Amino acid sequence: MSVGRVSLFVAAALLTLLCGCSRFEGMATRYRAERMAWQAQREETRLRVGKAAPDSATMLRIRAEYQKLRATFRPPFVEGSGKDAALLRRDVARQVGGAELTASRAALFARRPDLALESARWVASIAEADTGLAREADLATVMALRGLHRYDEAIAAMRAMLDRYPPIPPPTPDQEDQILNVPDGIIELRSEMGDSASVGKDQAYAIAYYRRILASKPPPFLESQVRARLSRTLLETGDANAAFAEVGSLHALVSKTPALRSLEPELLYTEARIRGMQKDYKQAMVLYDLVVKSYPASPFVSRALLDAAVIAERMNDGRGAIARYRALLDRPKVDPGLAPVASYRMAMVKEQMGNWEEAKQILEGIPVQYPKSRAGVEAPIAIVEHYNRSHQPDAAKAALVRAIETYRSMIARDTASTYATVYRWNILRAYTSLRRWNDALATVDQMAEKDKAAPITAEALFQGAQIARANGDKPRGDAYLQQIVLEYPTAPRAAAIRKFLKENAAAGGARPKK
Amino acid sequence: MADFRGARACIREAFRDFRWPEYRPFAWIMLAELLFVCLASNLGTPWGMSGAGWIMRTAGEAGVHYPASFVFLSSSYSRVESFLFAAAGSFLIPLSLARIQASMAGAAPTGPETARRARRAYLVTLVGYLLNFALLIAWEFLLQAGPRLWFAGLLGGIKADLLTWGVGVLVAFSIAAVFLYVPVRAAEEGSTFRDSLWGGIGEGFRSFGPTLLIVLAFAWPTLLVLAPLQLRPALLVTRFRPELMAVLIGIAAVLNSFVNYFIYSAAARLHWLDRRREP
Repeated sequence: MSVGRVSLFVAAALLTLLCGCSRFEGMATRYRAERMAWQAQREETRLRVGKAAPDSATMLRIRAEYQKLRATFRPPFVEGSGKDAALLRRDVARQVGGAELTASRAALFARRPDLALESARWVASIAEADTGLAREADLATVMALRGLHRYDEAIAAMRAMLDRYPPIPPPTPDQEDQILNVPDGIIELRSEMGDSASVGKDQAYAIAYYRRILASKPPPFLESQVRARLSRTLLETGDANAAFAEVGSLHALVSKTPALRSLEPELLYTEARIRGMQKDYKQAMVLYDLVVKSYPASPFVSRALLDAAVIAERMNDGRGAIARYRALLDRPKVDPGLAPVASYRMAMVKEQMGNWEEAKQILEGIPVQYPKSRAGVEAPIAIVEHYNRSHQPDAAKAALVRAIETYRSMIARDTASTYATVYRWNILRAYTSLRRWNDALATVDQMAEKDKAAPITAEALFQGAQIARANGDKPRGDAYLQQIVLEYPTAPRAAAIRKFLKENAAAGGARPKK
Repeated sequence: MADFRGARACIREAFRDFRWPEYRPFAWIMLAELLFVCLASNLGTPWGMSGAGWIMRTAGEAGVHYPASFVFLSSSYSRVESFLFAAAGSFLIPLSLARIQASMAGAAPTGPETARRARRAYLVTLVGYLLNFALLIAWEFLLQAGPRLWFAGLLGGIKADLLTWGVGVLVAFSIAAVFLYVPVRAAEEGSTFRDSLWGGIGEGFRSFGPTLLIVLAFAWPTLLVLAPLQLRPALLVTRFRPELMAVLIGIAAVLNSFVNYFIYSAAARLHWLDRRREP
């Protein structure tokens, strides 16, 4: 055999040996997964071209592209044992899981939260010890549950995340672990649901959570972030003394740690809020103005302007309040959470100062500019209330009709929004005020179908029962009441309704179902 | 001393007198390069990953990930090409030159004599190539530290990149032109190490202008393919298809193989012409 043939044989044998090596096989698998994910991204870009807001069909096609990874690569993705195989397995799982989570988001945008939930749960099942992927999967699960209006389950999932994933100390004070946002996310969700009774409980839960972290003596950056959140939540609950104590601890921490100097505007702002709660308005105003002047680029400037404007209102300084609301709205980066509140309150101050035309103009603009805000929900009703107060029944009726149109258009813009429930509730209120009973009952039916599990739906069903009974449709009224007992057993009115239905049944009417 | 008219005649003759046995050694290098490009384009298969993954990884961990592997393909290919030219080219280039010289002398191009001359030329060709390579690396460092910054400050953007690349290529070709006669002389009958190396470098300096003309006359088509690959690899990968990099590198490898053959063939003829003019 010639030297050339021997070399060729050795090379072929070596290549075969290498081909069989599971490490290279794993690396090749990871490469294929990356290629497929990249192709899905390209396809998504192609499908999105020319579409500012892609329709559901497009979103489902995008989802299908990302789902190809799940269909192609099956757990455990990479065979073999050892550290290298485990790392490759984790890499491939991240690729496939990441693509599936993108598919989940696409499903959510396609108004298919059921599909989104299935994807999120599948990713959670493959995450194993990969905390990063598991966290992403849990977040996607929460989003899907919100989309399905299964709010209590979403909140339970968020609470489970708090137990499962301790916050990671950040390398710099500017970075923050997303898990610290979860307690506020729970409170926000409860507020959106209009469940003010549970907001207090969730605030207490958040305070306990923050205190638990502080008890474990975290590093300074994490401690500062937790203390800042704790003081804010304590302020929300109205516990000024406890908040003041936290601010004191934070002050001490900042003076000990030079890298935490960036927290000074927040400290000043919190101190101002505490002064405001203690009714020391003059001192509070001085501190708020100091935040605005000393730290103009800080995100706390918007909050300081809003709170100072509210105090100015209380001190009957309408012009001062308007100037501060205007300053907040004219900032280069308007805070999307505070801007609708500022607009709404500015309109109210203008109305009080007798400038109704400007106030009305502002109120009409809020639902368009900030559709996903409490102010956006309340603004059309505020117009109606103005006409009611000024004894203009025809104008009030016209405003009610316009309010219904506004809410309908807002629902059409985003049917999956959590605010859709509140819009429908306000439509019901408007129809009731207009005495359009059939439309009101149709809205109750819509809420019963689309807003299942939302606490306000129980109230809508009760309103519906009253309207139906008042209009002589007793069976329909009883059906609504039965629905409250069956689907909303913990609703505040449920016990009384159950008792009423029992008495009614004893008298020969509807029988409560168990 | 060679002149430009002679160089032009050699370019024409080299092009006209293409012979397969003379070119074949370059084809072997090309095949090895194409094998690497093929393996590197198939990192999604175990054989592709095991064949090229370890080379791609020399560019960093990103070299074995998609689509970054195609961004790094150009630099990994350059490494493979450099290695092949040093390890195999030090024998195959003198072999091709010995066959060209045999044809010019009217002898049989293939046979034990040409192989013997190529084997004897191996060491000096390798040393010549390593010197050339070291100078190229030094020039690359100089280019990054000086001209690139000046051009960026003066012109900025794509214009500065183009100018830097143009200057870089021109100087790299100039360095290559100086060392071109080392294997040409080494493949000659009765040449010594010292005469081949220093004599070859001296001849490169003496015939610098005509030799550079030969290099540029043959290399410009390859440059057209190489320019987008070396100037904007990330753009090609992200805006077009990453696999386009492999296609362009494959084309460059084929073109380069023929270009190298023609350059050495023309340089051998110029050297022969120069020898005949000597008193």
